[in-house]
Amino acid sequence: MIPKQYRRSFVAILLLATLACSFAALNFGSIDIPPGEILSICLGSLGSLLGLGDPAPEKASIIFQLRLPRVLLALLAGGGLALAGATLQGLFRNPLADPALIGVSSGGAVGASLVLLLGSTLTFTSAIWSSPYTLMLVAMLGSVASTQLVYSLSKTGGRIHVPTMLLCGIAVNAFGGALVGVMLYCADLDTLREITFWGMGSFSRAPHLAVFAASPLFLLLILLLLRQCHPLNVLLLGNAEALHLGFDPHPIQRRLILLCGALVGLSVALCGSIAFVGLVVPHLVRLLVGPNHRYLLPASFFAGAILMIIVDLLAHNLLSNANIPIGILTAFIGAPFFLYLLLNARRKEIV
Amino acid sequence: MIQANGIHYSVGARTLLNSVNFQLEPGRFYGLLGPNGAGKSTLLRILSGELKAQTGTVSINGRKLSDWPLNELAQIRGALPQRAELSFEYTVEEVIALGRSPFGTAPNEATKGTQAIEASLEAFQLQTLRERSYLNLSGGEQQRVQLARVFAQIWREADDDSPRCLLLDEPTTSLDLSHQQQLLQLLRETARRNTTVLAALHDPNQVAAHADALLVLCGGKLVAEGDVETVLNDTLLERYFCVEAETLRTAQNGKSFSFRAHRSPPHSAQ
Repeated sequence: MIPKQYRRSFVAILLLATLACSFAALNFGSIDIPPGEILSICLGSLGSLLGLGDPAPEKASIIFQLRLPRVLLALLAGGGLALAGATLQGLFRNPLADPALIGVSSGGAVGASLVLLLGSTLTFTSAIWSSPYTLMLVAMLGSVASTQLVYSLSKTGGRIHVPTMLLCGIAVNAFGGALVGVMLYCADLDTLREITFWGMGSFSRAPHLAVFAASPLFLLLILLLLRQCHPLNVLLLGNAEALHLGFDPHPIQRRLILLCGALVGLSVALCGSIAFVGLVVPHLVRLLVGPNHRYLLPASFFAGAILMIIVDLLAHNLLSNANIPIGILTAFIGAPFFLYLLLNARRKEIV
Repeated sequence: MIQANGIHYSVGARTLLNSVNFQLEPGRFYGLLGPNGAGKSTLLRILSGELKAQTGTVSINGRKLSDWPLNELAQIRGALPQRAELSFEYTVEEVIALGRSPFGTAPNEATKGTQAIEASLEAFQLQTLRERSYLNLSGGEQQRVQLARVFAQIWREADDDSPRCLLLDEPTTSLDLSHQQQLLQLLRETARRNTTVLAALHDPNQVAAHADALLVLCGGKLVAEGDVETVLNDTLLERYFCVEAETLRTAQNGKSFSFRAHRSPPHSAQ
């Protein structure tokens, strides 16, 4: 574990690494654009003032419409999922909570599929239903609802029963899967294809304007969640203990459910279900900085962002001319890791 | 000062507390005695605001519990519930530091916080364990850490004698003999600094040796209250605790008791 006095610097290093990774990721692609040119494109008119030279417009559009939205989404959604995972683990007071495992993503997926389906069938309202904002909003509502559901079901007398939480997650996932199944059954071939591919998770399917539009909302939710570090620390002691320390647990828990659900729903709306990021990243970060949310939350966010930017690059470049869906890659890494955690937890008698 | 007026609490048809009234003064250490299921934990949870009584009011320092802002109350009242749940690898020092959460992070509070944490680590002999993970400690050590957290919460500087309250549910649980004695002494010293201390205890000898006064709950009713000297005697123990008791006078004119279980099936006090 990193000594206490260096934890703050560690978070700062992760921040710099995230920025460096993002910039490096902009350099990958089928068309070669030199880093200097990318920098001048990103800086816009400021770049020409600094004498970096004027970029070619077609290269600028490659950066703005293809690479930047993908990297930005990997950063915000990947980091957001890791942050939501860390928060959910604090909320549920155990390290096995993950947005996808306990059904939070499922709720978002049901909402998003519904919007995709209605957008393709209801011609008279299609302007509303096919708007990316509707998709985001409904997915966020779906995620908040399923978080609340699993949380209330697995809580008895102020305590979270971990096996119940995992089983509720299975039930919510199965039910969500069935709902999406019904929608797939009703959908025409194009919509079927769209929902299926979207469900596998990808950072490059969302329209670039939707990514830019969603970014401020992502940032807002992320900043609000980062501010919850202190209540989360106190809440880990237990509901009664938190109350005695002056923190009323119920409003805090409602706020956390709302923020986490909205963040996960937003990322589901834009890049589908990406499982296990919210489980693996906070776990590894906790090994480095300990359970104090003051460091755990920001470090998880940056580590999740870095991981997803790298995984997204792999997904695009492992096979030439093919995009491996991100959700498949993360599940390959994450599922064995979850089993390892579960067996470990059983040894420590947490479950 | 803690006042309880007509506290009544029931779950379904079961009455757990029945018109309980008392007033506890600062500067005194009160022992809360009673057989299992007498309502001790319920009473402490109501006094700490964790449960709401169906009827009756609780006042802390003359102000109704519902009128206290949670954060202000947390700065003058510490409470230790019976079971603790913590499943993350916090270090001992981090758990104790959480006791200072009501005070925010202003620089002068941070200095006081460090002093409070150090004082609590010392009081419960946890200095050597400070960097250890809470999860790897024994039950008794974990109990000491939780106690130290509550003491860090109500810690104040030497010249500050504003009234405080301390509510502890079976604080001696899983502590070894010497730590039990140290804790009881500490409770007595804490009470002397304008603090109202109420602790649920099981051993009447500990109450006799350390507490100033006692409350006895039985079947949800307050059946006895008052100074240890006048209230605590073998008749009381025989009547409410189903034991055969004998008073032994100790050298310092204090009391202690020897007791053994009734051979006949215990009768209900109600």
